[in-house]
Amino acid sequence: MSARVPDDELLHRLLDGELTPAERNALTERLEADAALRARLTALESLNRVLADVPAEVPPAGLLSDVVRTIRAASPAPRPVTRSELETGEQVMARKVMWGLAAAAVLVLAVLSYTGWPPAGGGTEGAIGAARRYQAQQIGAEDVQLGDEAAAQDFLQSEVFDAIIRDEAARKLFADAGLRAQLANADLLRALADPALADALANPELRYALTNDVVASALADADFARALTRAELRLALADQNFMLFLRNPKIMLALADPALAKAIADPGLRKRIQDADLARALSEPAALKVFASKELTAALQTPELLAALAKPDFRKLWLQADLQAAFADPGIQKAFASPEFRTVGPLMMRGVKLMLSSPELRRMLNDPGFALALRSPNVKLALQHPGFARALQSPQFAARMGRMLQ
Amino acid sequence: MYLVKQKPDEPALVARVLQGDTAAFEELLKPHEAALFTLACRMLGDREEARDALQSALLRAYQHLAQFNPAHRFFSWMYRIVMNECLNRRRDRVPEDELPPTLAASGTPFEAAAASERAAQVRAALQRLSPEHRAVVTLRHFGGLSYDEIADTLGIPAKTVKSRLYSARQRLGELLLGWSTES
Repeated sequence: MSARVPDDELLHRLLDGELTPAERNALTERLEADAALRARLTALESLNRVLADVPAEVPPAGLLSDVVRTIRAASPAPRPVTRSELETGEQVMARKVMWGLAAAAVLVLAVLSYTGWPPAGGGTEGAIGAARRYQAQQIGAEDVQLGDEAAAQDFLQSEVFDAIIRDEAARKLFADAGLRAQLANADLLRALADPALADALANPELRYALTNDVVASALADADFARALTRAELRLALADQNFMLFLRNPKIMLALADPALAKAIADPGLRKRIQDADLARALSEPAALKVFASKELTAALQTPELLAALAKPDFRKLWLQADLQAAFADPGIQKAFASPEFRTVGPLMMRGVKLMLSSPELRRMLNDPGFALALRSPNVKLALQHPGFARALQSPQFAARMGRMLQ
Repeated sequence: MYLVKQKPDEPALVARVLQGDTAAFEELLKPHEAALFTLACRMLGDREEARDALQSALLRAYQHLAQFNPAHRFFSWMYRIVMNECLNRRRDRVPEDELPPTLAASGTPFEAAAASERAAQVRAALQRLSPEHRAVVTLRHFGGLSYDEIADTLGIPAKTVKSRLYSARQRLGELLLGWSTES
């Protein structure tokens, strides 16, 4: 067999079923006329047959049951997750998303309520200024006078606290009264100590998505939160064809038509929507091409999407033109598809509306400094320290942090 | 290829496992056991080591099942875990055994050779590939995955999948069928 010919890739893709119909037809014609190409194809087919003839391996008896026995024998009994309520995998994922947003909400609220951070109009200048202010401050004995709160006292005398006050990002976070109030919640503390949350917020696409007013409004909506628990919606969000479909404003106008909405709820939609007469009836002529497009056809042949479109909540959601435009943004789509977005650590639901109701908070999410602060190892250390929550309640602690940043 | 289709009840089984039902874990994995074991064997070239690797991978899957995204196919997720386990075990391994004569070079028609001998030669040839090349060949030919699925499983671009697959096939052709060495 000779060395690889220039058309090798086409031949490989042909055998792997990865050619488009047009490519396959063109290659078939060339194969009929080119003996060398046919010889190469035959050689590749021979290799495929050799590989295909190797039988599957038979697993040793008890392989899987041994694993299960190991799992059962472990003490304490290992469970992948501990959850107080019965949930499906889809619900778990949606809950994580919302909890992650809640964590971001309270943090952003706290950071923004800290006066002047980020400094108006400036990154570097503000940082340098803050560093200089810090250098001018010294720790006084009064700073650790916290009465009989032994845990807080212990924290303020710990190496962790020492590290925090030398860390500008940490000081900024913890000097804020609003943040400290939120951090008194043990659940929130645990969540913020979760690296997954910091990692999630380090994703610029996610932060960008969260700063979009329309997305934010939708996320703050209880109906949307419930919709996220449905697999159909997530599948739709991940479906590029559906995104292409939504990107066209004509399509959205058509969807706003009650007749189409009714048709969508009809089990026989698939056939009817591909009917040119229906399309013509539902939209203006310019939209017909889109309705007849392969993308739309493909999308409407997805059972999950059809099921989703049959649900009033889903249709209502997508009928919001601004939301459609937002979700047509590749950055937002990518953010929603990112594992970071889906695996952020558990937290409270109540912070979601708080964060998303404020444009300032959403802008904050888009500030790399926020993610940077949350990723600070000193911040993480503090969040995991048992005396930290108590220290946060101390007026002296607030006063100390305030002085350092003045 | 030994393609495994997703079972319709897998999301429900995953949910049961997440509630602590270990029997559901066995039920979830049973349909995939042979395919996953075959993948491990092809990657590692040794049944005992494949057994160890697969058991480790299964335990890892159990521990991280909460991270499984139900929107994706379960078998793809499992393939990734098993592949990672195998690649971690053999990344530095260099095959020591001499490869038997190529099928074509032996002068013996394929039909005359015993099936077990052919299979042994293929297994040996696979071990002569780099782990990266072996992974794409294994997933494509013994897992039945598409280019995109292989890319997703290995976390590499589809373009890289193609180039590795073509190079790996060329090398296998040289080892098994006596193709001339690519310039």
